[in-house]
Amino acid sequence: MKFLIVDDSPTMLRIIRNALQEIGYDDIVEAEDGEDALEKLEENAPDFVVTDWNMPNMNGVDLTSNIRNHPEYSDLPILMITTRGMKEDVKTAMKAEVNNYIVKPFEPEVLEEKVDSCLEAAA
Amino acid sequence: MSSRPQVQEFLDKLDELQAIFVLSRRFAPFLDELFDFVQDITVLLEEVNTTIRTRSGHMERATEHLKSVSEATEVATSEILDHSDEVLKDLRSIEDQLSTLEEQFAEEAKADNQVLALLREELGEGHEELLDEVARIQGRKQDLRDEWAAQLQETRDSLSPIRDRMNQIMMSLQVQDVTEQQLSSVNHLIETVRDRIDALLARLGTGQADRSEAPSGEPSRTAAFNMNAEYDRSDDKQRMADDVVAGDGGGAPTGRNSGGGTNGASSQSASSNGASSGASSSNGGGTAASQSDIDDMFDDGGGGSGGGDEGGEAASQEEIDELFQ
Repeated sequence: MKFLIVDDSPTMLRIIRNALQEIGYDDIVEAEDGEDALEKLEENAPDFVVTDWNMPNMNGVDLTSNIRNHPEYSDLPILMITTRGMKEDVKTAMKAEVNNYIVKPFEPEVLEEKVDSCLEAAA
Repeated sequence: MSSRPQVQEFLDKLDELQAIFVLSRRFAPFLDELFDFVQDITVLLEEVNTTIRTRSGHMERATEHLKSVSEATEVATSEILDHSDEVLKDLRSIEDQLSTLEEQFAEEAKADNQVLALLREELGEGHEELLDEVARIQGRKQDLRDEWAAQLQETRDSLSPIRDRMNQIMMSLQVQDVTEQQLSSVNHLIETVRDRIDALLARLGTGQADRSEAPSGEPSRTAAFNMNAEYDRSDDKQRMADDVVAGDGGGAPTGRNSGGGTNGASSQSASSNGASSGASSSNGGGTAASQSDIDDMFDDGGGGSGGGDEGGEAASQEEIDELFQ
């Protein structure tokens, strides 16, 4: 299972990477924003995307929309991890068709639960 | 004959001129005062201008300072993560060594048993006393190995909470991301005020400043921060969500959201720029989501009517989970 994690914060990239490794996922590719993620998507063909929302160049919602319109990757499980915890935010993420949503700060157990949930939904 | 009207006209002009002189004499003191006032106000405006420019410079320094603080925390966080990685690596190494020792104990016990069996086989009867002594010694060795194995297990058990705490420290470093977004938000605010002052000064100086030059105060749609970011680890929202979920029974989301599982869902809604552009700007005055709001949204098929501006409660993780189930 290859993960693509997208966040403009190097700290968050490391934290998410470590958390994923702790729950047994070692094959991880990183991207620093949505645009970078779209390039990495083509290069690495990941099985799962974990993305932040607020990023320069292309944010997580636009990235999700782009992936959903992609001929090959439109069904990729996408998990959003963000500081945004308002109703309108969740609505917007849902419109863009993220598979699940975590509000920072998060616990590793929550990440594991959400990843499993996304994978079950995608199966 | 024709010079008479001209003389009359000349006299009229003289009267008018005299009237103007009279008027001027009356207004002269007022004009003097007006002139003095303009001189005074000019000095005052120059002082205000200088003060504003100075303050604007202070703001620039403040934004630079905030940026350097942000960079410093990023570096420090990275260092902490490096150290945490090293500690976790060392812990894994110690655990591996413990496992190796345990395997060696098992091998040693096996070898001892083989030696005893071999001695019994080779020496046969008549050496029971010697064989019993060897068995007794090996029994003591096994006791020692069992004791060491117990100590190893204790050591292994004590490593587990250390690893958990190290992982917790790493997870706590999410505060850096939140702080970074808060600092970026403050910086954006300061820069907005500074830009407005600059626009005002330009208008005062040249009279040409365009109103459109003044920033709106809203972050751009590609802003890399959330103005409302906060580091909240309380489980209050979680408990509140539990209550709401228990009351609602949950909604059935559609589309790709976890639990919905219909991969063939159209992505038309996702492709509309309206959805993303509205989302992209940092929400200065967004409405906090309550569980019932979110449930309503999913009961509607996730489309959302765009309503619900009434003040609600912040959506907790559990509330959000409910949406995706």
